[in-house]
Amino acid sequence: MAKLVFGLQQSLDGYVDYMELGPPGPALSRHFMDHARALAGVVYGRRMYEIMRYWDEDSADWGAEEHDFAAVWRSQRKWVVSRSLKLVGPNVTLVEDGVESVIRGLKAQLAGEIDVAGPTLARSLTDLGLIDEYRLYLRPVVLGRGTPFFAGPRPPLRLAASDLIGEDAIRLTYVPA
Amino acid sequence: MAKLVYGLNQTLDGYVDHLAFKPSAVLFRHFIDQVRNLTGTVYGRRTYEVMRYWDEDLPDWMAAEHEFAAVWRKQPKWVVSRSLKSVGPNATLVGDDIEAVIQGLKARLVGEIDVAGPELAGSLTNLGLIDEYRLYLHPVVVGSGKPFFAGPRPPLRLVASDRIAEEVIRLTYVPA
Repeated sequence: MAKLVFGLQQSLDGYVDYMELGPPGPALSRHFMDHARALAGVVYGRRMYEIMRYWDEDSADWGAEEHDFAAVWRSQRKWVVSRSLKLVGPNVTLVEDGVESVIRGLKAQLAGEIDVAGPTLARSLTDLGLIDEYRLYLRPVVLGRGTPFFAGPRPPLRLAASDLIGEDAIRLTYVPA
Repeated sequence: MAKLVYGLNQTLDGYVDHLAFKPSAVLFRHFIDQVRNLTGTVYGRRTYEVMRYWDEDLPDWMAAEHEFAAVWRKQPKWVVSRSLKSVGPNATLVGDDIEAVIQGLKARLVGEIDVAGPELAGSLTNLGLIDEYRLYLHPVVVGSGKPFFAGPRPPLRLVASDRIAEEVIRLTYVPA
């Protein structure tokens, strides 16, 4: 039985826009890399998958860290939830219909942790009651606008842990109450 | 030299609407002690009007509510507003020149002065007057409302995180 986890960096006002947040420091980057390496798999929404596909092709200006991350990303088992995508990259299964039963199947069949990538997908899976844990990596910036971590209201949660991670983040771990 | 602090309950998605929270007994006790120890509070008009609830006793109050009302009434208050013509007991109306008034308070007083109200906190943030931000995060998600931070601001630095009650963690930030 795998655990379905939605975790992302975000501003103190709750926005996840990666470019606006600024790059994580080296320690926080390593944390995410180690986390990604240990995952049983990742379920992507279309937008997030299209951003992350960047890592499928080597780029000439990459340093060692980028190559490490790309290797981790490529070896990851991925599922992409989308009705509009027709073609997906290597190591990916396209999920067009029956998201609920597919995700339930993955949770039942796999062990360890499955990541949910993308706030819109996370909201659908939240509404289906499928997410087991939320991890808010709060960076000490305030953006004023953007894409929220929580795409809509949800029933109360319970704080399970708080940990300082890397240079400037605090990670708050919540589970459904 | 007093420290100007902006702290409020908020949801995990960053909204402060007070009806989203019913403070637990432990959290209410925390705020009674916090208000008791304040040098004073600077209010925006809307928050002051909400808090004036505590100026008059109500028959259904329990002991903790009477205690909170007592410490609240005792505390010196400044209310920043151009529309209000008068304010209640123990309050001073600040109609103009907020910056000079607040700078004067900080220079003249010691201890901690609270800022109450997100719009006022936004103005005082833009004036560079707030020394500390305290986010009391409740484990609820409401999807919309009035944000704790009225707009973007330069980076902060986390100085403390404390579990205040079973359901609440307080994060303390200072300008970086």
